[in-house]
Amino acid sequence: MPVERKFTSGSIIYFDHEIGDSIYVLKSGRVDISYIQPESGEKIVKTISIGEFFGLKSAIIGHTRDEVAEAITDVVTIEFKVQEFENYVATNVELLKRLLRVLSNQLRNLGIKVNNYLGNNILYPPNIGLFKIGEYYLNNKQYKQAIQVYKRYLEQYPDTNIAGEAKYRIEIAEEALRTGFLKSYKPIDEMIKSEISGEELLTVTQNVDIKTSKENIHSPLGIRECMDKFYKAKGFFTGKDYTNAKKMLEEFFSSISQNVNPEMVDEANMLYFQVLFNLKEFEKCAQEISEFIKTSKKPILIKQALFILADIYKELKKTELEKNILQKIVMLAPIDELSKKAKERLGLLG
Amino acid sequence: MPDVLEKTYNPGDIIFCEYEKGDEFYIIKEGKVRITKIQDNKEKTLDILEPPAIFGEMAIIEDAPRSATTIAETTVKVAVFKKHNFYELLATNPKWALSLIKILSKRIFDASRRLQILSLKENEAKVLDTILMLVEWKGIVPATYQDNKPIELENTTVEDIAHWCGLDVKECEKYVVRYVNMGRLERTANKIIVKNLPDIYRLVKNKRKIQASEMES
Repeated sequence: MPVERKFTSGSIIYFDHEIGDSIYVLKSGRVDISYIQPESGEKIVKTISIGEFFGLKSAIIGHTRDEVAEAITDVVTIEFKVQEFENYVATNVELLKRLLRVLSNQLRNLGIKVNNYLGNNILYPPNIGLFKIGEYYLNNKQYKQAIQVYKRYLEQYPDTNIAGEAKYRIEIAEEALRTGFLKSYKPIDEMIKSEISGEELLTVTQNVDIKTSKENIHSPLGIRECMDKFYKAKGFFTGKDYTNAKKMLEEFFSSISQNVNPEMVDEANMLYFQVLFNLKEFEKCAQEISEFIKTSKKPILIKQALFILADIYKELKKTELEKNILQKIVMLAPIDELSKKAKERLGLLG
Repeated sequence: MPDVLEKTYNPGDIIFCEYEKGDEFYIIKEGKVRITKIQDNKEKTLDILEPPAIFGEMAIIEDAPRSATTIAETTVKVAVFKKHNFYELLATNPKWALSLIKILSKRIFDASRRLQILSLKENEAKVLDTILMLVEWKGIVPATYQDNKPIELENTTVEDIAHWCGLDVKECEKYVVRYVNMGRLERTANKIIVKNLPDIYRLVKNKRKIQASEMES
């Protein structure tokens, strides 16, 4: 059974060089975790929130703690032994979910830093990344794989400006499978470059038109950092840390470039509305939504945004306005699940 | 289990591709699946999975694009699960959930250890610290290792070390040869032997200390 364990102010709960099989949850008081940031050698101190787990990663795999946990005030914790913890989480899916997300977020951030050192800091927008994998197979005469990748590309990114080039590459790969001879194609990196220098695109398919601005190519880091911010924001949001999610999203929007996948921008917008809503910044949220509706061409997103607006009016108890918005959703084509949902909600409001 | 679909792939078929959106995960029923990633314009095999391995779950946890490509190595039969089944499956299969937590924890420690290595300024120090890391992976703590007994790193090549510390193989080779000549390391075709661990530990520790004091001044 997990036990309540008390520590007096100033005592060390565990040292960094120790291996321990205890996992703690903070019940009351203040615990600070300190560790050396691997890349800078700087000492980082982090205060544990009430209800937060600490000592988990190291205990669960029997690794040295690599951090010091100190009771700053008198502290009450719940101490689990690894086996008890395993039994406990086994019945608690919500906790498992939360832990998995926290860990994967940490891993993602570390991965970005590692890649920075390795010089792999050009993280492609997913569509360009996928396109490049097809190109790798094409270069290596693995035509079957190249065709499969480009077909996937067309399924997932049919509206992007290199979809035509993907089609062309499927054709030449299919031909190469029959004849053994591969027609020429221009590498994607060159397409991006020539787009930058304003040269004519000399590929067979003339509709290649990758929207990249000069600024982006000269700082490929821009894309990576931008994506990083988005994922961080998402992490904060799932962790219900709306203040930080808001901060990250605002940084994301200010660092946005044309190279960023437009779907990611849409998703970031939706996230931003929800964050503002949860922070109860209703006025700002309503403003942002109405700006978005003016420019977006995607009815599903518009409907989703309108739902948030309806929720705002509900919170403010402005039932008439809420009804108006729901009515708008119902009227907006195409008729789908969202329209149905809006209609039902209207019905309940009478 | 709801919404389970079975799919069969022929050898060489791509099951999913790096950078694709991932809203499905898979359990292997039959056959082998190869996990690859293209790095430095080479396709590298990260792992080969067999039944009843689960794969494709990371993109779901992270809610991010696929981070590697999976290819059917043989004829492969898989059960396909939708994203929303993921947490249902977690609930009915807590052992699996725990193993995911363990995998992620291990990867986090590995990644921060790697950052420590990469942040060293001198290439020589990077190579030596990577060797220390490989020793640590054997469950040995260099800081408290008193013995003079040599430590064998099986299946370790200079390429592996170079890859970990982000150097090219030639540069890495230079330092390994230097330490072999000094008698501090020994190497065979697929092994590197650390002759005197406390020695190497001290060297790296000093380099790190010097670097830290340089940063302060």
